[in-house]
This record gives sequence, structure tokens and C-alpha cells, in this order.
Amino acid sequence: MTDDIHDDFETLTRERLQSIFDETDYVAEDEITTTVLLALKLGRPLLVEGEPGAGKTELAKVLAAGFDTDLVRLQCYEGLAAESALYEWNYTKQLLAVQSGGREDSVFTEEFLLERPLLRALRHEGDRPPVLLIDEVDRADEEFEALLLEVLSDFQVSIPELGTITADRPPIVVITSNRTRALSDALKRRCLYLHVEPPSVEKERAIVRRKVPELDDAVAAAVCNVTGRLRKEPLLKPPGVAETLDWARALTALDGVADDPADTDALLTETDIRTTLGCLLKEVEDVERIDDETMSALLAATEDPSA
Amino acid sequence: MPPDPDSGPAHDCAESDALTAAQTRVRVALVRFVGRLRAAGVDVPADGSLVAAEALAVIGFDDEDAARTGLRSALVSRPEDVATFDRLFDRFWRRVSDALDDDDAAGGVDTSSLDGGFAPLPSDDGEADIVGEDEAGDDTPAGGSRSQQVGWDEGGNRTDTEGQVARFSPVGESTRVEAESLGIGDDPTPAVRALTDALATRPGRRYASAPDGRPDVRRAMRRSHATGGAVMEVPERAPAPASVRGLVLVDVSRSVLDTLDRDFLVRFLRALTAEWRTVRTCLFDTDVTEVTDALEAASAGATLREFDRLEAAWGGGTRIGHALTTVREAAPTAVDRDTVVLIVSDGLETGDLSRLEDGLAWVDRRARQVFWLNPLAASTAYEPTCRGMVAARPHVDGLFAFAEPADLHDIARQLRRRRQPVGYEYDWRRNG
Repeated sequence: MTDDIHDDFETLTRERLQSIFDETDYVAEDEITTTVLLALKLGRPLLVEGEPGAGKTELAKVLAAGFDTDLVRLQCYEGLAAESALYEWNYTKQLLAVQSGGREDSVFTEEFLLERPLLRALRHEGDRPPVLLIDEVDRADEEFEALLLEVLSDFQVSIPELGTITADRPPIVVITSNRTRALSDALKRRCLYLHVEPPSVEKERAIVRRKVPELDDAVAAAVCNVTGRLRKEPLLKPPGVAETLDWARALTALDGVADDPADTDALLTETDIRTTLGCLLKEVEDVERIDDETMSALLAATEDPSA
Repeated sequence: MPPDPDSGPAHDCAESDALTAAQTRVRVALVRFVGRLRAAGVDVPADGSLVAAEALAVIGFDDEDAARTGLRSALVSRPEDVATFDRLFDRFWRRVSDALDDDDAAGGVDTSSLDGGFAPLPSDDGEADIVGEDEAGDDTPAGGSRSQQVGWDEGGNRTDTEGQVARFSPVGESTRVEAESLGIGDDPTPAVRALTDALATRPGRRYASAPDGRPDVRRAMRRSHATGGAVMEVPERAPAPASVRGLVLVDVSRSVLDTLDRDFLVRFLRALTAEWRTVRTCLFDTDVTEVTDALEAASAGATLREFDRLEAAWGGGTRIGHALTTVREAAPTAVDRDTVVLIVSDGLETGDLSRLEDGLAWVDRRARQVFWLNPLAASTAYEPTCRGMVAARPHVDGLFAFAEPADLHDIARQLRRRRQPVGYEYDWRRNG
């Protein structure tokens, strides 16, 4: 099973993978590229951990886009169970079939099977295997991890009434976790591991330039400097890259920076920051924390990130 | 024309031997590297060596950074292990480079020249090569102590020649020693489980069969298949009480530690951490220190070492109000409507009483339940007349004695009785 996917990516090189990331505007360091390459070549699931906003989910999306294949996403949550992740029987249809009579065979057949994301990924029909994104697996219960083990190790699902369904072409599996709880050893053992650090100011700047190219370079740098400075504050919800991009887009949507009669030469003015602060901070306590002193520090950081 | 000594079958054979020898050396180095990582406390998966070998085969040996990244993805699954991995990888890579460059060594690796993690593996005859014997000490875990090394006792004596098995359990020995010193007989885990069951009123998203729940249409339909589609019975289901989410504030002032066994306290907190769904724990006297992570350490001894590392203070005065307001300011989300708050304290407040009242009012508003565990209440003569307890009592759902596991069992017993008053007045000591 693993050999199939191995063959698919046998000729893939790091340079080619890097170019795929470049084409999809995903800023990836060598560590990410190498680990993803390994996961593809070895046919192993990739477990990506890191802070929210570090680009974990985006990684799966760009792989799907880059390899021109489907993305099958399973969003995990507390209480997620097999019928939402693997498969479910269409009970209504079964009931109608039984009540209508004249049915000799079982109602537990393909006709009555509803595919859920995991099964859909295993039975995907296409030229290339799909990317299966199991997002925020740490939100699911520990018991759910056991459900994943068969899927991740053998790329198959056992349905008691139907038998074992095995993937012809194993999907590319990306599992993300925000580390809100520890994952089981059994799950980790089946995966290659990648810890994604929050981006540096330089990397964030590159991301903003790629994702919001219409924003002036100098303003983009100022945006990243301010966000970076803001993260040094003891905030309840520090802004991630997604917030930085939202802010950059907001500034662009507002047609550049606002005119501030007090300081027309500034890249970002206090008015710009105050009026768009909702893009960066999502807790009222955090917003209230931005007093005049903190604002001065943020304004100073627009020119000098070390301020 | 004389034969070229660098070509022909003999040369090919020699090349093949050299290649095989180099592969062997790399393989040996890799296995020892993995062993060394485990000995240093890195949580390497059981099949880590195999996956690492596969990764190396894919990546090759031309690029050290790529090899480092590849092996890291195969062998490390916790961010906190990365620094240890990087430190040991440098030596591993040096050995691999030497092995690949060293043609003269074809036919076998000279393990006698290796040291530290790359020293010879123990032979079958039991000649020891115990991890941790490297006296240079540069392979000891960062911040770690010698006692964390396996197969090593503080007296420098290897206790037995079978001790090499300990290389698979890097903290095994210190765990055992610490556990014994803390007294296994007082394990409060069963009592904590009973308490957890009594408190687990938080409905989860998981459903379970319940006689007084709502109709379970899915199961009803499924069962009707056996009766030709006629629904003969309607099973019911309800969200199952799942777990407890909590915040534990522990007074470690001198007055509390004089009356409460510290080992019991640590074991109790560790058991809570293990049994509750999520729990944040803070120690306080005149300052507040969050010790949640430390309580997840492998052993009670490791937890105490973590307390030391966190510079958690034992034995100062009591400022409960300060502790509560600190939590409110630093971690307001630590208490929500699903949170059970436990305060372990004797209530002998030395700080500002109005802060205590403010803090408790905040906790009372936000938390699901607030319970006060007071070591002094273990005395049957106890009355909560100190000013701290007088201020606190209106805001707590129960004031209980707290000195031994029996108290926890008794709290659970009281909480299971619905619609009846609870508190130290009704406990087993006074009504037993």
C-alpha cells in the first residue's frame, strides 16, 4: 500500500516541492519542505503541531492545490464520533426500503452507505490521491484517536456489516494539532512530526507581501513590526498570521493609511491602528490594554521593530 | 599489459565490502543514536529507528541540515525534545561522516574508540556499557541531573549487570526511588476518582443510553429493521456527564504545611491532573506560581523537581485574595461556567480582606462550584471563625476537611447525596 504512494512521489524533488510552495504563495523554510517531502516519499501521515495561526491548515491546502487534487477535510471537535468521521448508514432510506417490502437482500449494502470524510478519502477516485486534512485533532476525544489508527496505519476501514474497505491510492494525510492536549503515542508513532514555529518578522513580512501584494512594501513591513510588537504584550489572544493578513487587507481596503494631520509622514498612524485594531485583537481585555503608552510603543515599532 | 589494480572483480568485491561495512557502521550509529535519545528522555516512538533509517535512505548523506530535519521528524514528537535531539545529532552526524569517509575501517567499526551514546552496545555476556557512564557529562539532559540517567545510582554503583534494560526507560530508576520515598500506601487516586465521579456533572457531547433522556431515533430505526420496519420500542439517550474541568488553588504557606502532609498534597494534585479532563493548578503563599505542567511529570519526584525548577515557594504567609486577583488578571479564562474550583487553604489570610472577598465573588460568579478544602477542619473541634473563612464562606458551596484520602471519599459521598447540605459538619469524623 505504501509502495503505491511511494511510486507517485518517487521522482519528486525538494526543488520541485519548493516551487509548488512558491506557486501557491506558501512561505516554507527548508525544514518544512524536507519533512513534507519525506512524508510524501515514505507515504506516512504528517502530524503538524504549532500555535494557532502558524500555517498548519494552510499547509494541507497548498499541497492539495499544488498537486491539483482534492482536499478532504475532517474538522475535529469534542464528541466527534465514527458516524461523523467514517461512515453512517442511511437509516431513513433503510427504513423505507424495509417497509416497502419485496426486498430480499440486506439493507446494509453500498446503496445505503453514507461516506464521511475518512471513508471518502480512502475511496477517492481520481488521478492523484487526495489530501486528507484531519484538522485540530487535539479537540477530539482520546477515544477518537483509536479510530484513526487503522486508517492511518493500513489506510483501510473495517465496516462490520460490509467488510474491510482498503484505499487503492492512499491519501496524503496531514494531521494538525494546537497542542491543547497530548496526543497518544500510538497516533504519534504512525506519523512523521513537524513542529511549526510562529513565523519570524521576516517570514511574516514575506507572507504579507505574497498574500497582499497590493499593500506597499514599507507599510507591509510596518504592519508586521507592529504585530510583532503586539505579541510581546501579555495578551489573552495574541494575533496570529491570519490576523496580520486580515489587518493588511483591511488597510488596503481602506485605501491605504488614513490621513492624520498630526503626522502625515508616518507609515501607520495612531488613527490607522485604533480604527482597525479589531482585526488584530479579539478580546475586549486585550483592546483595553492598548493604552497611550502601548500605542506609543506600537508607533515606534512601525519604523524600528526592536523598539 | 598488467591488470589495473583498481578495476576488475577483485576491486568490485572490495568496493562492495567497503559499502557494506559503511552501511553497517551507519546503521549501528543510528541505533545508538536512537538509544542515546531515549536515554536522554526523548520520547522516541517504538519504531523510530526503522522510520529514521527509511528517512535517511530517502534523504541521503549529502546535506546535514536535510538529514537533521528528516531524522527529527521521525524521532521527535514533542517540541521540548528538539534541543536534546539537536545536541545529540551533532555527534551522531560526526560519527556518520567519519564512518562514510573511513575506508580503512571496512570490515567492522572500531567501537572501542566510541564514547558516550556511541559507545559499544552491551554484549551478551553482560559486560556493561550503561548509558550515562560518560563522565564528561555533555550528554546529560539540559538542566537534568545525574539521577535522571538510567542504570545509574547516586552512589556510583551499578546495581546489577541486567541494568542495561533501563536504557529504554530513562527516568525509570529515579521514578521508583522517588515514589518509594513518597509512600505508595497513601495513593489518593481511588479517592480522587470517587470525587471526580461525584463532581462530573458537566454534560459532554457524547450521548449514552438514559431511561429519562430524549428519544434515540437512530437506534429506534435500526432496531425496527428486525421487525419489518415497525418501531416496537424507542430507546432514549442523554448527554453523559463526562468529566470535570477545574481550577485548583493550593495554599502552601507555612501554616498549611505544618498541618498537611506535603507528599499527600502532591499526590492528590497529581491524581487530579490525571483524572480530570482539564485542570489548572496554582500554588500560592505570598506569590502565585502555576504548576499545571509540573504535575504532569512522570513521577511525584519529578513533580517536586519541577516545583523546585519553577522556584515554587513553600512556607510563606497566606495571601488568598492576592492569589485570586492574580488569577483573574493573568488567566481570566481559567474559570468558566463549567469549572469546579477547589481552594486548599486554612483560611488564615494575612493580606487585604477586601481583595479576598472581591476575588471570591468573582470566582463564585463565574465557576460552576467552589469548594474549600481546609486541613484545619480535620480537627473535630474546628470552627471557621478566622476572618478569612468568615469572609469566604458566603461564596463557597462547601467547606470540607482535607487531611487524608478518607476525606476525599467523604466529600464524594456527601456530593452524591442530592438536595442535602454538605460540609465539614456532616463528615465522617463528626458523624461516623
